[in-house]
Amino acid sequence: MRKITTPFTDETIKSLKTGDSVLLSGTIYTGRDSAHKRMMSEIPFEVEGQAIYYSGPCPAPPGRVIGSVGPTTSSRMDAYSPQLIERGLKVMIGKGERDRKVIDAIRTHTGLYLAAIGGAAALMSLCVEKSEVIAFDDLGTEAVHKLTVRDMPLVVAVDCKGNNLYKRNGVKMSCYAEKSLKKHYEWQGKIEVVSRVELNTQEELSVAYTPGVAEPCVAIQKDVNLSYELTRRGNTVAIVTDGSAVLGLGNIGAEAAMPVMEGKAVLFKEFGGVDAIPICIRSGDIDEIVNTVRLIAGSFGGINLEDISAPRCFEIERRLKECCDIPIFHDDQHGTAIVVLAALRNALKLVGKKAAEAKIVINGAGAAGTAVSLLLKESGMNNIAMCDKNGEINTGASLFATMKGADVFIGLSAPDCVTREMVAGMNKGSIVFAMANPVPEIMPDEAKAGGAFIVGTGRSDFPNQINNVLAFPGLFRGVLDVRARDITTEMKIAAAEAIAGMVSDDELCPDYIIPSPLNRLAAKAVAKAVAEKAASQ
Amino acid sequence: MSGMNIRIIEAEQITNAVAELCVKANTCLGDDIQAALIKARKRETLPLAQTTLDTLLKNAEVAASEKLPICQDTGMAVVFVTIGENVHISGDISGAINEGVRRGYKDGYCRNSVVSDPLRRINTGDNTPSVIHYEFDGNKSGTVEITVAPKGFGSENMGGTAMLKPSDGADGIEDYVIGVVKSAGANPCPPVIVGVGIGGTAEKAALLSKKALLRKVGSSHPDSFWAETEARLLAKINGLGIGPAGFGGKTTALALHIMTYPTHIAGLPVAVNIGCHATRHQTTII
Repeated sequence: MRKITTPFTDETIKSLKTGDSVLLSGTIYTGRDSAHKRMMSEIPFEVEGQAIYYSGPCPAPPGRVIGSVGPTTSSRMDAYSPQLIERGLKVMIGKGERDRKVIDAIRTHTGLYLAAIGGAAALMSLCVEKSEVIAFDDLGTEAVHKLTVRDMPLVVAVDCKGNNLYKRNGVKMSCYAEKSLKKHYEWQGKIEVVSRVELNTQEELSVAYTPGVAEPCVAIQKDVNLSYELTRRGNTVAIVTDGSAVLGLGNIGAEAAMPVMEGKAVLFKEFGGVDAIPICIRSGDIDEIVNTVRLIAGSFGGINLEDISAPRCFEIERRLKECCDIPIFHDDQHGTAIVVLAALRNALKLVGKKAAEAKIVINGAGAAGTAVSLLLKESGMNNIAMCDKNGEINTGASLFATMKGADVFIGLSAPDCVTREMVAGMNKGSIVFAMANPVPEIMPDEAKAGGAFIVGTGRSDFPNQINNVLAFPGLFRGVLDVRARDITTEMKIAAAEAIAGMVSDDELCPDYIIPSPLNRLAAKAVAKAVAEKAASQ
Repeated sequence: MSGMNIRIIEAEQITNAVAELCVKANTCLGDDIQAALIKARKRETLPLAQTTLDTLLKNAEVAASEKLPICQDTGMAVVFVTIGENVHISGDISGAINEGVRRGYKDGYCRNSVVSDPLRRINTGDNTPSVIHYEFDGNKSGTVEITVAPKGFGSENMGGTAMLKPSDGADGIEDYVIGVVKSAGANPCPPVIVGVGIGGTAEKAALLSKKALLRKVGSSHPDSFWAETEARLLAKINGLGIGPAGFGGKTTALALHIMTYPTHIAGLPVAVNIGCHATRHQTTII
């Protein structure tokens, strides 16, 4: 086991990684709740390079240096720690999770959070060779004790890169699958059609239905544009799939795709107020899919293509754009491209790199990878290398070689295909978006260990979740509001800028480059930006 | 009462018993918990989980042999008193119990962690008052049973109570209990023991959840319906992956105990009380 001593140097701290077991010797200081409160105005020892142990010991029995002395819950000190770290404190020892501000301070100031085993207090007292109260005597057990310890057994819980032991190991919610199935039995469908009219009297019936309803029919017959005003068409989108590329499940067919499409409809409604109708087509044939959508397009204000496998999705989208007079949008391509562009803009801003110069590697040349590459180029990012599982597409160079000296890695590929060493070969201030779902190209703590400065994934259990839901509900809201006929590149870029703009310069930090997918204001901002851009075109 | 044989217990006897129980509970890990830790150690495959459980077992050994508190948080003393029929205690029983706590915490070199007022927070200096729960048991005669359960606040802070709707049912209980344990994470010093009180009123459920921690680890609920519920919830909690000390592993909880009570037609109270890996308690019968 690695032995370390106080005071700490940056060199020692940098050599330690989350999960390492260490034996600590030297001088440390105890301090917990009340002592921390007082230390905000007066630190009673030279704090530079030192360690604070969150502990309030038991009284020393006769013949002993100290009584039992285990760690207390660290989170109660979270409010005070960043200030102490700024003033030179290097190491904290306690138990349990720390909040984001503490972890950010650790990362910024090359600090360390060590975990002691909660409850192993008798054993810990045997590691203490000397103890004296040096301040705040009136606080009793909470007074600041100066301890000389030998071989105190500890585990690195947060290293100077911000990797978090508790996040890595804890809380893998394994019961979503079972719970979801149970809930779906209970819901028997996640969406339903609701009437917008009162229907209590004969007259109400005659107005909403026959004979009165003939009048709006005739009006639309004369001017088809009135279908947007006299029916729900102007707020309704079809979510069209053939079930050929659903989640990571592959081609599962029309009926099996429905739970995902219903879920998408829920997101459309919840975030954008858009009525979305799932249409699952029992055919993988391009002509049949195009023809089906073309024939029903008059019932909708827009078409969201979903989970259709590449390369068929490209041709289906292109042909539908030609033959339909309503916007066609393949979310797996363009929704992903918009949110990646939003996250990348903020990430580059944070590391102070120019969009035009940053070397970007995209791994995965499927629907999403291709669309991301195109949109990034359209917005002025030209230094892009595309890789697939055979390496760089033009040169055949390996992904490892291609990532050397890169500023940005965007993974839209497969689990675990990137290593810590590959990230280490990237430039300083590197940005890694590992978006394979649910298992990313590289886990965030691994990427951080390799030196990544900013990491984003598609997952909700890590910071910077880059998720399409930030884009599509607001995008369609804006498009429907101004009855746009197409969704242009400029509108996509406007959407990305709106999402990026949700994070203010003050808030922007490595763990917060993009708003949470649950932030409902994102859809509003996107809708406004897209509607304005559409109106100006 | 004439003709009955009334046993008279002096307050001093109570004080002595409580003082001894305080020291013993704080320094001696229960055999049942020790056995459960050893069993868990065999199941773990992660090296960090293995060494953490080894450390906790070694700590218990050192605490017992050196007469040191297992944990520096020697807690607030929770005292359960069950008074049988035909018993008379001469003197102030609550005063006698608190005197026992005062003496026990001093004799055992335990930490004084009690403040006199929740907001003004001045340490009372002798770990009193304790929290005392009295019960009368007509099935017992001539005896007083006392349990001292020192409760540290690393774990106590992580409990909770919810007033569920009857329609929330078993799923509602499961979601709530697992949610509480999940959000507690590493704070209550896992592997924990989870006490769950279901039914009664809000305060009854809370008390039951604390009492559930006193049941022997490794025992199962006498009602097979609840025994199955306990097993199911425990498996789910151990699937969370929090593990010993929160470092990851298969052992997040050593046991989950449920205690129930009849409740109102309109309610489904649920309370969770989390005990740390030591969940200290000692009992004596006078």
